[in-house]
Amino acid sequence: MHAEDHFDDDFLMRLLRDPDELQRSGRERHFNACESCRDQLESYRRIQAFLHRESDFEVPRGWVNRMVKIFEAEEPGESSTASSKTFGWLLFDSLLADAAGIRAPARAATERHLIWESARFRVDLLIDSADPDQVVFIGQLVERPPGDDGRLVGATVEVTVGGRVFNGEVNFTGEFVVPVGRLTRGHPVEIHFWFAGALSVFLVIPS
Amino acid sequence: MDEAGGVSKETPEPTDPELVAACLSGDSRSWERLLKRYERMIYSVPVRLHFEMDERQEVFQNVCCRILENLHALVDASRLRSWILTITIRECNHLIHAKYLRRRHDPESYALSLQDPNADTLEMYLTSEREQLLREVFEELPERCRELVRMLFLADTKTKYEDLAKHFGLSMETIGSLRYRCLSNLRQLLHSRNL
Repeated sequence: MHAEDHFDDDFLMRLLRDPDELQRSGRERHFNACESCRDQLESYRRIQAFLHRESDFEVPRGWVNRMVKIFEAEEPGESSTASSKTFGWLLFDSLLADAAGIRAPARAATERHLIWESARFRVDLLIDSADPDQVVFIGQLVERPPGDDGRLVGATVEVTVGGRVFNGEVNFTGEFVVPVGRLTRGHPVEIHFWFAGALSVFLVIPS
Repeated sequence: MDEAGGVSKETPEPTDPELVAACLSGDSRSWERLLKRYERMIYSVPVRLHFEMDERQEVFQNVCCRILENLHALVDASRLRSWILTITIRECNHLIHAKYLRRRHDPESYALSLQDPNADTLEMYLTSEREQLLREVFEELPERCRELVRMLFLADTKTKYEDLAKHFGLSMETIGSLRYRCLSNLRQLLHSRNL
């Protein structure tokens, strides 16, 4: 075989599907002598492996939308430096822990326990749905590292459920109770803490 | 778009620095675009580390929040890919260490723990970055070309020209030409990125 008789795409595809084809075709000598064909086959193998793996990396539906919602909660035109909001990340969710077989203190059927942290705050929340028509959000907001929790007193807690907004207030120990009625399935719940100053904390509960 | 499989598209995708600038000015569509561009790269790391679904979600959420919180501090926006990957690997390592510490106090689950608290982050970084570059190459191909390449590379048996022509609603001659141009463009794009 001459040097110019490089493997064409048809042959390379056949090799991808069946490596024994090289031996059967009697073109091993060219393959061993031709760096370009070896490189091309290797490159195609990498593409094939990549395409096979890509299906494992399909991000579950809704995850990106949730993050877009968090972005949109920022005031327009404000960069994160100037933003008055602090975003918290979920540390624990008894619903997920339960599904994963991890024992959680919350009674799975009627309670959901969640813990968030942000750079400055920690929120511990229990969603009590013993009466599905009278769901109550019971939680505690604390500063981390512990600081003057007194300045959290009186902060407004705004819980948005399916477009409806319910309000509560943080007491002197950082606790708050917000009855929200019936929860709407399929909609994430948003919790917003408003302080006397410009700062606020924004949390989202996955639906 | 070049229907025969050319590289160029009608609307060029914004570059990373353009996306970052738009995000910082409050454009949520750019934020969504940024996440769409890197969602698979972020998600692939906890998947590779065999994290459970709730842990993957935690990592994904944390990484996105970190990006949002610190985007303004990104000095060189052209390094966005590397920056996000570094954040992702760091978040995964935090979680691995937290799990490791928790299990240390529980001899039973500690003995069952298979996850290495010092996972090879360099290997993870290089693999994930290489894959992201491949993803970007594919994104540069026109939609029809991407679909054709997927069909060619993922088929267990040779896909007949007649079937391809039928699938794409093209004549046999056109499908042959499309295949040739798509693969040529793919090679060209791979070469331009040293892949």
